Amino acid sequence: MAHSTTATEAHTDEHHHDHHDDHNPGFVQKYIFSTDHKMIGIQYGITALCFMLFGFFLMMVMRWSIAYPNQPMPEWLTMFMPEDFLNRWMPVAESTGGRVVDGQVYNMFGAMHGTIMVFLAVVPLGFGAFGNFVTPLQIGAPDMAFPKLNMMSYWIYFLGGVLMFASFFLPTGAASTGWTFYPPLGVLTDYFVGSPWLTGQTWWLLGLVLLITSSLLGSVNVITTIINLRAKGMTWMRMPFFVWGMLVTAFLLLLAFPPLEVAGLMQLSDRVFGSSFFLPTGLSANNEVVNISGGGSPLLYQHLFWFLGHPEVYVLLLPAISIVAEIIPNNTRKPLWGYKSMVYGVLVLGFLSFIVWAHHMYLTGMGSAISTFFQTTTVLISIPSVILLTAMLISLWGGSIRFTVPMLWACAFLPMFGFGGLTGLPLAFNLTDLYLHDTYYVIGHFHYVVAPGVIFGLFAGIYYWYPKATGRQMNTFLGHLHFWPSLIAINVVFMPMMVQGIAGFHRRWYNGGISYEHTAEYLWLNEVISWAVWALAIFQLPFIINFFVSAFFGKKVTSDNPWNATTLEWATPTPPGHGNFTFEPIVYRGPYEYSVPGADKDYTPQWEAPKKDTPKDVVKPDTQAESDEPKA
Amino acid sequence: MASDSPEAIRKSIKLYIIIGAGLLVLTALTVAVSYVHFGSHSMNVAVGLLIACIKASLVGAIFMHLNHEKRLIYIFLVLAGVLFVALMGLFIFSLLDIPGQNLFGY
Amino acid sequence: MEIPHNVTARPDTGLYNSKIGIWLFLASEVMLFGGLFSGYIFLRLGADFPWPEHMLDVTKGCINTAILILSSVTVVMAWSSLKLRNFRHFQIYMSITLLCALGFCVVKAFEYKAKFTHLSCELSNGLVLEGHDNDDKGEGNDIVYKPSRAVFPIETGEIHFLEAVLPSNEKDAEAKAVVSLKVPVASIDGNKIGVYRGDDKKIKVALGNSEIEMIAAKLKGGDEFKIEDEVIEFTDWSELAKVIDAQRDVKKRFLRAENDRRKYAGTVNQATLAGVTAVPKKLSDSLETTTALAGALQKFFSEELTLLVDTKGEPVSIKPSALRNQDFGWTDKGATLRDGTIIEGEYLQKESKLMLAVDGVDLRRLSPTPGEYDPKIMKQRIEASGFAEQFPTIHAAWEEQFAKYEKKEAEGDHVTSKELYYAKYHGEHGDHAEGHDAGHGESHAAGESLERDFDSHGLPIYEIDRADVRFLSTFTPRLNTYYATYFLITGLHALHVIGGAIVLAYFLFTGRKMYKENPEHLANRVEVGGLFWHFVDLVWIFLFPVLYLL
Ligand code: HEM
Ligand SMILES: [Cu+2]
Repeated sequence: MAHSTTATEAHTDEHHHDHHDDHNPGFVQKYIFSTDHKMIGIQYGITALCFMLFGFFLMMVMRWSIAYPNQPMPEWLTMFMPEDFLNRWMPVAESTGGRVVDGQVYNMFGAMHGTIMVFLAVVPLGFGAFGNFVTPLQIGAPDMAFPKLNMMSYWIYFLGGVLMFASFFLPTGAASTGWTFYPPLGVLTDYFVGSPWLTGQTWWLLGLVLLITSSLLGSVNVITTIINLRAKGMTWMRMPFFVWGMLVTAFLLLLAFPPLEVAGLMQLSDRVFGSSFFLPTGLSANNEVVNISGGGSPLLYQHLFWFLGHPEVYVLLLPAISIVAEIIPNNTRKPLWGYKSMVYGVLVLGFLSFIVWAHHMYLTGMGSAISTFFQTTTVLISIPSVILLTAMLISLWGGSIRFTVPMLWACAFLPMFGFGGLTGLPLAFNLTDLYLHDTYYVIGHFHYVVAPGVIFGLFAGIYYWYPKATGRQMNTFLGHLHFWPSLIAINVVFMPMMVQGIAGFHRRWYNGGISYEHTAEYLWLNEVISWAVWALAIFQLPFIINFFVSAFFGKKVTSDNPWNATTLEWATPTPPGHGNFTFEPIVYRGPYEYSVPGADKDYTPQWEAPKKDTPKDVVKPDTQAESDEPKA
Repeated sequence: MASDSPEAIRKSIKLYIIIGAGLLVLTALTVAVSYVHFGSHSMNVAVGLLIACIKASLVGAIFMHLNHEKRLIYIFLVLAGVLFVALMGLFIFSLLDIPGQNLFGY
Repeated sequence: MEIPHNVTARPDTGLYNSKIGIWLFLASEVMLFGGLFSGYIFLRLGADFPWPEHMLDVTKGCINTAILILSSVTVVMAWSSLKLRNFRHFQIYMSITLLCALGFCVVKAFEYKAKFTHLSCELSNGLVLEGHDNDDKGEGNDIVYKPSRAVFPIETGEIHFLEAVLPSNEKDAEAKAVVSLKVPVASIDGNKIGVYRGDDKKIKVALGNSEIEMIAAKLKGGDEFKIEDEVIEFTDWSELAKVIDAQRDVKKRFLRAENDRRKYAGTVNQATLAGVTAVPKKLSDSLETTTALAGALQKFFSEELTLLVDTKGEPVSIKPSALRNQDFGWTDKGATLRDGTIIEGEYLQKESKLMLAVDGVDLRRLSPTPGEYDPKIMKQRIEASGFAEQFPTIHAAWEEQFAKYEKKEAEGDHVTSKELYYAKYHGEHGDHAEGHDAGHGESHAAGESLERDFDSHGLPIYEIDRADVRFLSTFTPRLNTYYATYFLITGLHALHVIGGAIVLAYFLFTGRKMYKENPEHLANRVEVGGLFWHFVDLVWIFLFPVLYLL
């Protein structure tokens, strides 16, 4: 790799560990308390992947309980849990000699699966890792606008994650009241204990407040960077779609998270200071009226929670969909179809996502005027979503598609996300939602969006940018071994859930519904799903191996731009050094100039100066050229 | 920026003091007005909030220089403002529209 | 590597980085306080109790408003001074700003303090009395027991809860409380296993892995060893804590042994079910050993520790805050603490009486429909409540106020429910001197005066039976959602003040170097810090009328 050193910086070379001369920052500064956006991105990524694995494992245990309720867990599940933890929570059953998951443990694992997946895995991976690593590169910036703040965001996130994880080992165990944490249940669970501070429920709230703080700092940073650190010539409409996605995501985080922070603080106050923000008058527990003033409102919590909760789904989705939007033009060798309508679509989507939240609350006894309002906005928001999806589908049309590994994931993303989105429509209408609310249909629907949708998109991104981050390619065979079985397994996991949901399977059943008559016909699907889940787990092994082994033994990339891409991150050395660019990047054209007629190759990078003999191409490298301002 | 020139700043210093004094007067007014009854409690709330809004605008416009800020910053603030109104408005809406209350005559 | 536009504005946006950053942050703060205010309105519109209005100290609020306005002026002057390159003036203005921040916090502290000691006591008939308890600790009087036994939950219990109830010797030499604990101790070969008091009077804990392995080995060898109960007396709470920690460890070991036992038992079960008649010798051996070990370990710990309490006849008092449940956590036989500790003993009703120096009364909760105060119904309810007979002084004060506003209302003036049914009483020095021991010492049936004394401010002190108290709280978040919101919003706001002040102080004390290098950079920083500071002021501008006046 050519490491053309910049004039000012002696330590452009970030990758080779053996350069320990005086100019290099020490190990701690370089890998731990790093202020380099790329290192922070990688830190976010690895931490998030670990949490994702953990969240996945919790769910595997849950799936055991659903498929084989009250039956002893096999060794391959118990071996990953510490002995004392098992003895405390999943004691051996006398009759069978095996360990059994009970409702209490199921609740704990279920709540933490949801929380970890949403707040500790997918958002940090999509927004934290990709947002940090790719955004500054794509806009031609040397780093984030506030590097120290960036480091702080990561460490606050890390602390929040540690707090959540550690809560499993408290005497009361981790939080167990769902990722939604609805009061009064959330408040009164483990309410009467020695110290209200030392419960999983409270640590969950503390962890949440930390995670929110981290996200707020992160989003301030990302927005400022995008607005003020764009390279010369990088006008708004020349920004890659990924950057737009990040901009909107950051605005969602910035403006939707504070009300949840309020909700968290109020619930914390209810738990530890005995207030009644969310506790109604006359509330009783264990047949005793609880000694509180009452007068609060559980509904207030739901409003505050879902004010974040809905934008949060777009925070999960947008990074993934924007990654896919990068990969598709690169592999179809064709411009992204309808780039501008996608940009406007994503802005409208971002805005609308703030005013649809109460579609999660149709069953709380709201009046028909307000539910009509939320039903209308919810249906409206599907328009920009469909625009995004359609634009990307049309982008495939007539392309000479290279089925690289990232492209496989990107291609799978489209129908999977589409299916997830379409199955959401019946939930948008309050009449059908009355029937479907809180069933496995809902679980199936949103998992189609977040698992084969978002996570596939994120996998696509990992395979796509891995060469830039490490200088080596991931192994293609292992990539295929990861992709195809995962695609099949994940559909076998979630498609039956839709069926079960319509048949009336309720969510949050630890025993999968064996105690009901109406579920009998579809109980067998529980086993099918669970086995598919475990198969899915096995086929993540190729990825894990690929991820770590390729970093040291993978095929070295031979060019800074191995995918022949057009966007600026490929103009940097591989891996990029501190400060990113070895020349001052100037942007001359839009982000997806593939197969330009008359060009000598099928891609024309944004940074390539136009040739002298085609003067009509010359655009002044002046950011004032277009006067669009960002909105979200 | 013209407003950043030393003369302009010297001029605005006087303005800051005047506005500060004005804010104090308005504070006194808020307190005084809260002991007067304007026909209904909602009217009192409206008057109180109106004065608060005037004070807030003064702080925003003069102290925070929002009277001559860049377009971007207005965009941020309008966005936050609109969402804040949506939040509060829809909260109130949902509280008023409870089945059985026939808010909209059905 | 330099980050571009750190100091100078980017030409097309016209802004430097941190200015964009701070405005974004403020936008997010708008949503934070927006959420808080929205929550406040939601709770207020939906409240099913008389919403407290005009309850806060307006003078203190006014002072703080003025302080913040002043500081807003000075902070913007500090920035202007930097722009005019006058560092001296910057220092002066910034110092004034910081003093203002300090002043704000001091006033706030006094405001909070008053609420922490002021009590609101709702009686079971709906009368709400406000006042102070004897010792002004703000907890209400302690609840008094003559304890005999305490049961301590080993899993979640916390020693400090016990400590709060049972005075140790060190703390209070007069009350010679001794707590003793019956623990099993085994001895093998002259060595003791378990928790015991050594010859040197020190607590010894011999329950580590090696000891437990020894137990297992002995049991395997067919040894029976004697386990005796030993009664250990404690006067030192740290010793007790040590024992409890040891017991927790044993519990973990017990769970391990017990789980092993069940595993083997399960395997044997399965084998039997499958028709295997001859259980392998190795398996049955393992089962035997683990059964014995689990059994032995169980002796070393019991699910709950039972402590024998001897206070040498002295009663002990329980702070209401330590109770699991103020109304339901205690009975005449014992009380349950928040951590699950059960104190058993005799409830001393007389000593547990609530002595409340009353300075206010709220009659609105007597109304059967919240928010509606039909004069006829209210009159009837007030008469039925025994207010006049039981609380004569306060009643007289209220009646006077009521008459005044009733007249006003009759004249067509607007009168609020608070003016009619909520009265403050400020005490009258000397006036009631002769009533000083009026009812003192008398037994009183229901309907008789509960007035016992007057405190130094001339406030009447009432003796209230615990059983008549429905809800007791200081003016803290616990009292109702209004105070909860008040503390949450003003608390967060105060945190903003403190955070902002720290940043501004940092600029003041370390700014000189940066000023020398690049005065514009410092000016930018101060501008950004100032913007935050103005925002804090701006929040208060709304907070003040919403919480104090409306
Ligand atoms: C292949 C991957 C996944 C599988 C098989 C899976 C499976 C499940 C299962 C079985 C439940 C419990 C259903 C119930 O009992 O109510 C669940 C709940 C949930 N999952 Fe997943 N999940 C996966 C990935 C994810 C991801 C990536 C996310 C988020 C980004 C996620 C978020 C949630 C949430 C929020 C809940 C609800 C928890 C609650 O009830 O409070 N899951 N998932
Ligand atoms: Cu939603």
